[in-house]
Amino acid sequence: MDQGSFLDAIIWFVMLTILFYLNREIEIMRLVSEIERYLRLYKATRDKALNATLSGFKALVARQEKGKVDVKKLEDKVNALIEFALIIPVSLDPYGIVRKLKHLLLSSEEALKDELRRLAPKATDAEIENLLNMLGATRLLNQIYKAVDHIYRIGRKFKSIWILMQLNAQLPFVTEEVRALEGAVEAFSKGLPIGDSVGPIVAAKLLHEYNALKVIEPVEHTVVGGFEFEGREVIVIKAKGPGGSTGRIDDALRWVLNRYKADVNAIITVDAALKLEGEESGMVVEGFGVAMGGLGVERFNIEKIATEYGIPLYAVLIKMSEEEAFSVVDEKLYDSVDKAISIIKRTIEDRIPEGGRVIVIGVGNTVGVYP
Amino acid sequence: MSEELLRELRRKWLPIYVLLLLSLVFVLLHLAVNYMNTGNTTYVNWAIPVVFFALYTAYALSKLLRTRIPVYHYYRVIKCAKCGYEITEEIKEGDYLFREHGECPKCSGVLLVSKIYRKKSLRGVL
Repeated sequence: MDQGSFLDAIIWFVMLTILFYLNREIEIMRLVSEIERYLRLYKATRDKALNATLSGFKALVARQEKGKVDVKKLEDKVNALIEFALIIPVSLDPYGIVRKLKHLLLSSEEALKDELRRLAPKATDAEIENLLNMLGATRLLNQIYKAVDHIYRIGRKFKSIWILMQLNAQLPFVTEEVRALEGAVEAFSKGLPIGDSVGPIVAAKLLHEYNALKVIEPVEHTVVGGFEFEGREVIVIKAKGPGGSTGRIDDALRWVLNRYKADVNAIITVDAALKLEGEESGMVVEGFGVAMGGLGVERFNIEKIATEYGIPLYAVLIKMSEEEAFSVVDEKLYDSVDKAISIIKRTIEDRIPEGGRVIVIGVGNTVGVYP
Repeated sequence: MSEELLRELRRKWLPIYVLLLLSLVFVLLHLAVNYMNTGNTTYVNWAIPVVFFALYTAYALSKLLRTRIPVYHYYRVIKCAKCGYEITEEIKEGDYLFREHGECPKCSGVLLVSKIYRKKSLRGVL
């Protein structure tokens, strides 16, 4: 049998090396084309959101200035607002970080609102809040697009298959977030309730169901109302709608506890929670603790206040996907609102003694939900 | 994802796939007729890659035709808290939940916007 020459072996080895090299190059090409496809979608979504935000501004300004709008100036201003950066406080010494973070968030929000009021002086608070939310969603879409594009460019520049593979593996999760933010821009532009509004919807529905006529605003952007249920006093706290706001729940809770000298038997929080892929949307789950998302500033403060006064914390969570949480609310989530209300009623009956007092907090963005 | 982009992609590729598939079928027929007339197996050899290419194009076209683009409609439910009378209609600008909406035509109670929601329907390619 012919064993082949030394030259044949060399040729075979060279061919094999070329094949390995080509395989790697083809894999890089495949990854690059897939990432580019996602990037095109992210860019289109970012541009669409930017146009929607600009149209929102233009419509508002035109309505007030009777058609006279300096479009160029407005576009420059909106583009600048979309690029603004929020620098998170240094956490090398974590003591007092939550207070610093809260101060930064509140002052930046106020500064942005002032900026928007200067652009549209006659706009209502609700319109300003919705524009601010649209701006926030567009800013996030812009950041996502830029961050993905940055990693992609680095990966391509250094022909690093590992960077590209890691980026490619993350893209389904990033796409979920982009979809969610795209829905948010649409919802805020129309001022309609989103999935995350289920907490405020529960709170508002309770207030309407029990004719809580006296609803006050003791803290900025946050309303408090009360009613009697089966011999127990129920105090409801929620962000003030129908503008897109999450309120200042921790400050309102502090106000309520000061008013009632901390004579409260329990705090129940209701909020939307992210579901896992295998879970059903609209599933209502009970728990202990504070049901609240975000950076954690308000949750920290509520936990601190409850611990200070020894008040039990109960939670009701309504599960949904990220896309549902930020898009206009789905019809089936209203069934979950009713389920959450019946769980709250049962919790009050079972765990609060007659003559007791309970605080129910509807957590989430109250866009399109009154009061 | 951004529906405009999906529509754009669809518009761009649909005629290309249709034309390509028709051309491949035409080439295939031409090769088959030539083979039947001459009996030359070279035509069959050429026909094999053309068949594979045509099948791939047909698969891509069917995938494209199966694409469904979500279309959203927005509705509100106006309900009377007193008698339970309710109507469902498309939302109006400036609508929000628990907004008062005049008097109930049945019992003169207060009508409230009790639900605002979005309904998704899927639209085909053509």
